[in-house]
Amino acid sequence: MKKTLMILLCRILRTVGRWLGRGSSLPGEIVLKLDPTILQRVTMPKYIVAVTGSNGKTSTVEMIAKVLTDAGMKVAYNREGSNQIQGVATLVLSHCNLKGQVQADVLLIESDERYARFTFRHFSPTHFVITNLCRDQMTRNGHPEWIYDIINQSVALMGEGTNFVLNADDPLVSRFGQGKAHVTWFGVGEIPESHQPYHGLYDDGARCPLCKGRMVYHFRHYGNMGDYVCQSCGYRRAKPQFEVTNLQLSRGFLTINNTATIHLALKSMYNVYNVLAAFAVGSLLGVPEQSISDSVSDYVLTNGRVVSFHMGERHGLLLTSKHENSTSYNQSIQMVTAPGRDCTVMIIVQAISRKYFTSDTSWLWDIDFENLNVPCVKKILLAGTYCWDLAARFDYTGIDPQRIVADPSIQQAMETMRREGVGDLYVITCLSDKDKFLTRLGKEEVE
Amino acid sequence: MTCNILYLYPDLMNLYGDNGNIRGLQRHLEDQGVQVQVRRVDPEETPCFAHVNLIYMGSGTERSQKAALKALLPHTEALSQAVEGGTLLLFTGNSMELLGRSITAADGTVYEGLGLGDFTTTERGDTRDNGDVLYQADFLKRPLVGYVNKSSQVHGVKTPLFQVLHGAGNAQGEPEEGFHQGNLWGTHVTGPILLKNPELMIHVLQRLGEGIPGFSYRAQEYPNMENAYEVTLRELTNRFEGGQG
Ligand SMILES: [Zn+2]
Repeated sequence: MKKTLMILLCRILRTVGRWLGRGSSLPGEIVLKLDPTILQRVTMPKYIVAVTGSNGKTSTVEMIAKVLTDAGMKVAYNREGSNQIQGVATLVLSHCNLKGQVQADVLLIESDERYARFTFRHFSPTHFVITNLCRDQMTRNGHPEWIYDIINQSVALMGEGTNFVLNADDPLVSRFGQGKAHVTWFGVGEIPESHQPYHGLYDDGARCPLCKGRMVYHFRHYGNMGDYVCQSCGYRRAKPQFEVTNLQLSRGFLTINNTATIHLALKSMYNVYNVLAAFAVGSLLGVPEQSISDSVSDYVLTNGRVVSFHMGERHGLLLTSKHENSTSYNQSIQMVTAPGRDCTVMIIVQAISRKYFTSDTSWLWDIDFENLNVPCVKKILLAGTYCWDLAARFDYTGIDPQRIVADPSIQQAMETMRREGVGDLYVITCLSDKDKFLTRLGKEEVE
Repeated sequence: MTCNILYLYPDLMNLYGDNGNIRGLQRHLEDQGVQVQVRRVDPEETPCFAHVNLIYMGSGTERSQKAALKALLPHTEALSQAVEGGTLLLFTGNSMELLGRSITAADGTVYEGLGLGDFTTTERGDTRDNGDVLYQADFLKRPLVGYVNKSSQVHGVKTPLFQVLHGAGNAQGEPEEGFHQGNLWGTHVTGPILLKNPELMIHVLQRLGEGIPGFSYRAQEYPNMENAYEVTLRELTNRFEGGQG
């Protein structure tokens, strides 16, 4: 009886919340306070898929949702992105009938890496996908190994009923597979590009996450992603069940397990891993290969990470990156330089986070800004409160200072861009700062 | 004029941005007319401290720090002699903790430290002191800005490097931070502390210069670095003292 009441209450609160424009975590928060064990007493669907990790969670979850929905499955998932226990509770309860049965074939959860341990106290996923662990928001996350230990607390709560779907190319993520009954590995195999010598300002793949011995890569895709073996303890990459066997990034297609060919709308290595993870989950849940390939081919994210605009005759792209996350910035830099066309780049660092205060810009020293030192990048505008930290960092890139303008005022930097911009325009900034650019565009300039 | 820098365990001990300290030092020394040799040393190697002007180590994860300690411990004697002979040592982040007598990990395991300083470290497995800091020191006219990212408490430091104006100290509620004894310098501040603090950079350059025959410090302009410092100082002061708590 009480269960029914809670479900009703959640529905009412959700309706009221929508009216008031309030977040989707509030109903769950209230219900959990009144009845902390409610999630243990509802009847879950056959599949519970949870996705966590540093980068690519949202993209992966969206693609999984599309794959499963296209295949005719009913998917309940937190598309609003409230990925803590309160949001998950709202999601689960609002999909329940009054008997407490979740009316879906699949419950799909994007789980914040720091809060998974609270969610999975109540129930275990049937499939736990971990995408990657990298340097991300260190001011609140500490460091990747700290997050590893935190996720491990939730992994410890899961029994043999959980299939761990893990990125075999990430040495730290792969640790989760040790001693587990059910592990499904995904990875990107040997491709021509994977033998380029590693260069980066730091190398988190250099040392073994188990024994800190020296690691050697047979091949590497980016960061610490690749085929590794520890020279000291022998820890090595597992053989993936789902493997990218052919990849032509510039032509925009990949092949998985020599059979399934997928076209890529977003031609980046990072996207390849998201597609691969979605493919693995779809396949594990019984969706035919062809159906998965059709669903993810040319898939364009709907979450507005890339925004088109124009200034006069010039076309522009705003690439939402994450401050305090060098991998994310490096990805954007690659998108700027890959076409080899003349361009102007603006980088904005105004509020380092929208969730907490910090003035720390140490992370700028991890980003490969040196890669912007190419002939096609004609002008670089550094804008926002921390433009001088950016400029101090750019002093070390070897880029001709004549091509760089720093301006604390985003408005004025935009005027410089309008006046002096050359070629295609790019803006690299964070979710916390992108509106400071977009709202200053003229109405006709936003596409 | 030459300056030899020994960069200990750069892959292992570089939580984020620590490499900026070495890049910055190299540039600023070169601007002073000094030829710089940076020798990167991995944990498997035997470090050679002869003719070294500066030994640097950055911050790492708790596990990496233990690996760094294990690698460096057999070379304590040579390291200690070098420092007594005039070599400057700068350890930032949790590498500072290696200098003490011991580190007690969150699981209770006690690791013997290098014992160059008379202090001990205790780690906490559940929480971290993550936050911006404002410190001051008698050798700096203006406050030091920085960021601390640690899960440990350090007790027993009698000769600290900084006085805490705001943020984490060596231990909870302690008004002092870091460790400073002769040529030994340690602070929990992570990232490119030298690039973020123009005055500290100059101070380190001058200290290094004492060991470089023919060196005399000439003032140089670094406007981007100076502006960046001003902005961070302003933001942190507003934050800590402006009641935005
Ligand atoms: Zn190993």
